[in-house]
Amino acid sequence: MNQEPIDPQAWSELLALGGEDADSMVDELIDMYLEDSTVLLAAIRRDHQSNQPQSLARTAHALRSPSATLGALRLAEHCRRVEEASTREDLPPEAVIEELMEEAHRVTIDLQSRRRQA
Amino acid sequence: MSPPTRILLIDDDRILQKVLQRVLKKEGADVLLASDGPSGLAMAREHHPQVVLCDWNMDGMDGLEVCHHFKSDPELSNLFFILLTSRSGLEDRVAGLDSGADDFLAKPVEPAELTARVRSGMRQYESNQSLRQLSLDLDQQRRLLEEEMARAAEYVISILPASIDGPIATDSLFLPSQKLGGDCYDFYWLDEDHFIFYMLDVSGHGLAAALPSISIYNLLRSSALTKEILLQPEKVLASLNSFFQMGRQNEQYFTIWYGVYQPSSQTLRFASAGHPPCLLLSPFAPSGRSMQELKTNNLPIGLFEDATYVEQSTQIQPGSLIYLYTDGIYETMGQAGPHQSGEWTFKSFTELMLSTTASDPPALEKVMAAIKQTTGVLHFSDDVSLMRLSFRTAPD
Repeated sequence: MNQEPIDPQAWSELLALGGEDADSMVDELIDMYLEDSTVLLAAIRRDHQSNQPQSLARTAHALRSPSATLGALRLAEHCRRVEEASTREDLPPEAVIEELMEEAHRVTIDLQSRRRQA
Repeated sequence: MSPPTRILLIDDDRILQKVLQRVLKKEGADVLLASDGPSGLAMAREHHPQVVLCDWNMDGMDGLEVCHHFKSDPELSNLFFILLTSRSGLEDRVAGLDSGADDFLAKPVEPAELTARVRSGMRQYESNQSLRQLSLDLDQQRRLLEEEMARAAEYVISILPASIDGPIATDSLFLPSQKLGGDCYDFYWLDEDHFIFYMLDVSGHGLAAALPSISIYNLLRSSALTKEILLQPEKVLASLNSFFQMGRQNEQYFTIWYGVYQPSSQTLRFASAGHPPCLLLSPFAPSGRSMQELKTNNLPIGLFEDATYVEQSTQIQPGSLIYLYTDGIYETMGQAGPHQSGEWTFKSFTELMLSTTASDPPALEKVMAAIKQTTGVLHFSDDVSLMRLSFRTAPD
């Protein structure tokens, strides 16, 4: 898988969907994503610390879908791993959560840089 | 210009919602958004979309459950339901199809595939709609027709004679079929020494069969035929044949069995035309009853203008039974149910009639119940008529 936080091909496909005013669409999507992911990442950490695999599975899923849509494929893959482990009632090890958090951080910085300057 | 396709998108991922909405709007569709199953259902009931795109993995009510709700609601079941899924396993597809999903769309969604599936869904929705309308219209027509048939059957029942007692106790049963056949019968004392009884069956079904049978009944009850003619079965048949030719339409004909009994001479004069034979059961003896089939070789009425008709006569012993019936009573084989053991034929019918009347004849309803039990038939495909005359052992 590509080392970049945002997969270039997925990103160009998203831009193609936006058509003429792709920029404004992308800005709107990034704003929505950053707003949601902040909340979801906090929830992931909380669910993990309080040993709530069911809730963790739902939260990881909720982050996976929009991440994939915006091309954050590696982060989506991390989410999938956490989601699957938690669905089996296996709380994933701390290290897996930390990897997810680190990847999420890279994605956030990348998306912020793609956000058109207002 | 046709109104735009209205699509309901149910997904708890608002980023994906936005993206899909954009793709679909570009295609000119009217897009409604819902973020969970219950609000999606409410929106569908209010706005009547033609196509629903629904995510499989959602908190609370998942896509399968939403699909099930849509498909079990008669108002929503005709919508084209597409499940969005990142699952690709066969079992998942099976579960999706079982819940009633019309199509699947894999995530991540490929825009060209999305629009193609929506267009295909729209086509199917439209052809389903026209089929649905057609089936509603047909259903309505069928119900109207059934009501008319039921009214016609009620009328036929209302003109049929009630049971009579006396030297010849006479009983009858008429079971109109759903599509109504052309059965009709009558029995009455023409005078103190002549008892007339007949049964007829007009070819075909529906009003086209019922109306002629009613008119023949009226003709025989009116004074159109003189008493002299009514007392001679062969003349009655010849008169009916010429009358029926005059009003002849639609290649119709009818079968009839007509008899006149004279108590003073214990003689029965009869003529039949294409009708199943009348069953004459002689009085009960220790060895049981013996049975005779009474019929004459005549063509059905209305087939040939120049047909000639013959009659016969026979002596009736006191204590005898006579059965008259239409062929619907034994021609049930096409409809026979799985309970039927062996073949139900004219022969098994006559044997059953003989056995059910071994001593005291049971009520006709019981005879019919025995037939239904033997054949496994609950509803006959044709009208069924059954008439029984019991000749008293000790005439007054």
